[in-house]
Amino acid sequence: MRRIVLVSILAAALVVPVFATGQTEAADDSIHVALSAPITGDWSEYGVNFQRSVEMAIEAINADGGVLGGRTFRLSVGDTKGNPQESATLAQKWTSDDSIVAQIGAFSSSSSMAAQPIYDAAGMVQLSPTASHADYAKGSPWSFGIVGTQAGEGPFNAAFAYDDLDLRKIAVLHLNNDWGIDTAKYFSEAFESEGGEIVGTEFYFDGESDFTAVLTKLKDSDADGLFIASFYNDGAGINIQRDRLDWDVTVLGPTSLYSPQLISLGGDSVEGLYTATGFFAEDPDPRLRAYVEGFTEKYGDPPNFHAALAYDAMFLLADAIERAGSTDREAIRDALAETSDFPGLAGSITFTERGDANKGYSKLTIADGRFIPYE
Amino acid sequence: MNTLRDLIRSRPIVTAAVVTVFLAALPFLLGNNYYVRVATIVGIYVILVSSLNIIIGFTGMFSLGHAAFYGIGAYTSAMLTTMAGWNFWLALPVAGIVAGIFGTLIGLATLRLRAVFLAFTTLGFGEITRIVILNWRSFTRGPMGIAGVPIPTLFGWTFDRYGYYYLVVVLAALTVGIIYRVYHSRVGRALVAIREDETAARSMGVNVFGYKVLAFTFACVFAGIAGSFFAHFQRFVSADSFANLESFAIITMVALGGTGSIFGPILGALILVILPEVFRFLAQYRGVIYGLVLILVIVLKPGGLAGVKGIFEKPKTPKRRKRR
Amino acid sequence: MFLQQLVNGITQGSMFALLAISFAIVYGTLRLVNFATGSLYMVGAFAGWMIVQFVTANLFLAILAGAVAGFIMGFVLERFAFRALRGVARIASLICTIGFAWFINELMTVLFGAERKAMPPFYSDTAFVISGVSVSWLQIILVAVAVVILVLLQLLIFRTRIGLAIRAVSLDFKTAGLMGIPIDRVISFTFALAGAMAGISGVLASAYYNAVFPFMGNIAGLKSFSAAVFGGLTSIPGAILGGYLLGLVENFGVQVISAGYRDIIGFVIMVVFLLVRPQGLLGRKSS
Repeated sequence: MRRIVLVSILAAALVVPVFATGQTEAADDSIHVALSAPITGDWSEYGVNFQRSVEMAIEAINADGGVLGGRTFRLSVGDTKGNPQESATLAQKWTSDDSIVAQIGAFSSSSSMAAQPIYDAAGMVQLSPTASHADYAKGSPWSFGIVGTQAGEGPFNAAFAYDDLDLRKIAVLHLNNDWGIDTAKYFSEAFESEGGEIVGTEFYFDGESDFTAVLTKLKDSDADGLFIASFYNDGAGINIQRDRLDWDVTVLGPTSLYSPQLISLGGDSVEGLYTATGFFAEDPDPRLRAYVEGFTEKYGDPPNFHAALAYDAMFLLADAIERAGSTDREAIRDALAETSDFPGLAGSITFTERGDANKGYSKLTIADGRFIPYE
Repeated sequence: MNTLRDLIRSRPIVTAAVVTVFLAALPFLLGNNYYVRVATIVGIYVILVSSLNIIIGFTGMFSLGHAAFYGIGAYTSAMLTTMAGWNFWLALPVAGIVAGIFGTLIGLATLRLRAVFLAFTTLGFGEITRIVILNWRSFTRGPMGIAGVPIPTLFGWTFDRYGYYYLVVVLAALTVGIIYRVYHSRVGRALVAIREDETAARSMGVNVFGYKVLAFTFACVFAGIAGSFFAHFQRFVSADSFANLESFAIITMVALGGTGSIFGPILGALILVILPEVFRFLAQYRGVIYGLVLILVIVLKPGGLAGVKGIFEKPKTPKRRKRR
Repeated sequence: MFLQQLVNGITQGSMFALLAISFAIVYGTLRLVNFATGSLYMVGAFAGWMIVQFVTANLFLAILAGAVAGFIMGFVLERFAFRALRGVARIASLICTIGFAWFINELMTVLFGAERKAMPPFYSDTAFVISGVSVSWLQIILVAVAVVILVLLQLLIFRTRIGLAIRAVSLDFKTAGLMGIPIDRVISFTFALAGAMAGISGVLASAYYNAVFPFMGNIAGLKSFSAAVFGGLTSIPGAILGGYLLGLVENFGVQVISAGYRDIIGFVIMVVFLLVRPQGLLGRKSS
């Protein structure tokens, strides 16, 4: 009896998707693109935001008449779970499907780099909104990143700290992953070459909630500034715990901190924090307003920097296809590589020879519970 | 079901021939690189799950850190080929040996303790391995991972998708074959005796500790080999791939397929690699359903789908503290 | 510096201790390591967060909600899964706990999203500062709550009938049954109690770190498991001691060695310790 029940469950599990997926195939001339993102797992909030943004972008593009004289887009979404192996499997899935012309994703550098050999071998564009590892984009002519590398952002933040905020001794606390290491490294190098001094560097692993111990250690370093290479959620935790330790210090961090969530999580403790961004949700630009308001209305919160980058990635891809004049995978790559001054919501995009974007940033600070431009 | 089993038993050569032809033709039947990749991943897990089955299913020990040995194998192979310029065919066995050495050390240190402490130590070892990989930047490149692991070549021929598939099929078949031979040897009988009743086995003259260490080492060697293959297949290794969750996934496959049998692990790997792929369209609901299916299977059939009946399904000892 | 890390360690240790007890109670009665303990901790934290978010911003009410949620979840898990598995191989139940951890975490992700929810700061004012060491009211309250719970638990186990029954079942399952103790009910209660401990710990952690999210229990669960092993895995005082020691070791480890190794300092010490004293710090000697 039990065996029968079990077999039926497994059989149903295997058969149901066959029917479910059968109907998604559209028999029109729409252009099929794929998105790989961590829809489940530790990084799922970013993955879900990717999906929302790319879907919104497609909706907007399609409503606007599509590309190539009226062809619309349709999207397939795959879940990387934030796992490099899953991401590579998805890459194989997308590249095996002849209808797919290009891929957007993945979220993390390690997931993007694990999939890179497959896109490279198959000849399909891999356009990551957020991968910023120095080795990512240069690893393959088919790989592009639009977030800008830390090699570009580090000096900007260092100059902000040294010239504008007059900080001379900085303690660094970073997330210990490929992104955090790069962020801390390029910031520290630039800050030291400005003439400042890095008086202490500590790190923490992803998933850690307790920052009190490392902060206690850094507090002793006699720093006048604290640079946190973190995402906004850790950034909020770090500041709350710093506040609790009575450590009064100027805090600044990279673009990853820019999110309304930083303030709702961090409360008073993030007041006076300095950060940079390529995307400012209160910008009056009408295209940006439409996106921010549409996103907020649909999902409750305004989008953050990463969500905006995914939105830009889709528009950039559509633009490249239009410029290529075809949906040929190679033509798209060539058109993408020639991108220059593409007006993204999260900053203009010009690809370097390696496939990284050079980006401009603006300075922000937090006052009275909201982000305001730093004057 | 039983008739099929009888048929396989009575015609081993025919069965082997049919299976060989089927496996050889599979990539052409699938005809899609994505499916071939999934089949290759199934192959990796068949090695991992079958080897863990030696520890859990045959000998009755708990190991919660199998992914650590998998990771050690992957890193050994990746580092030897990218940093020291070794050849894949040399790195593959060395990866197995290095993982085996770590297995022996862990085994020597903990296999005299109660079962739950082995579980704990292996769990801890998994975490320690991951953290050391992440921290030892000058040696392992830390969280950056190792990219550009070379593609294996054989007599001037560079492996493609199908090449990887055939290689993993050969490796998995060798693994399962060797395990099958061992299981039906003196060693295998000793292991089962230890699982069934350690005290009785000891009194019959079985060197319980020695066999446990042997079994543990043996399993780790295979995990290391699977890791080496994985490194060259994926061509990028990072500590993310070898976290505790990976160990849990392997254990789950052992449990689902059935502990203590040869076929069970293959079934477990097959189902749990393919099922999530099939469920992809469910996006964020996939994890929930995956968890639910797992719970249902365990609750409805605790011995696993192909477990040896009567060994793991009946209570081994009454739930009472043994006082020896 | 030293004192500040001591204060940090004790605060963190309080949460580890409660969670370690949760492991110890279940292992003590059923010889089962419940890997879903971290998920119960997370569910407790969510329950507390919901009270604060939708009802009233009262920390103590949130703690109560966490306890109740953990209690119910523990009961449900035992009643609908582990009871059916009681006779079978331990590995099956072990894997079932892993399955539940997975299921609960993913379910909460679907229901609430993976992003961190903010727990408003409670009592974050500094209570006193002595030679550079600042102690907040929250830290004092958290430690006090943990101590009160630990004392209540000791009273429950050593001064009540149900406590007596729990001790009997944990000593000898079968004989306890023969003596007329309703084993099923006792085990249900034990699981529920363990769930409540985990739930309380979760609320305390969410208040201390001001964050609630579906994966918050993973690392906390693993660490507390090692604390429980350190204490012998069956001993409640051992688990408490193990929890506080882990808190201290971790914080001093960050200070002296490096933050990179904080998650494994505890593991390494405990593995070495086990080799020397396999029954744990306060464990009963067996086999």
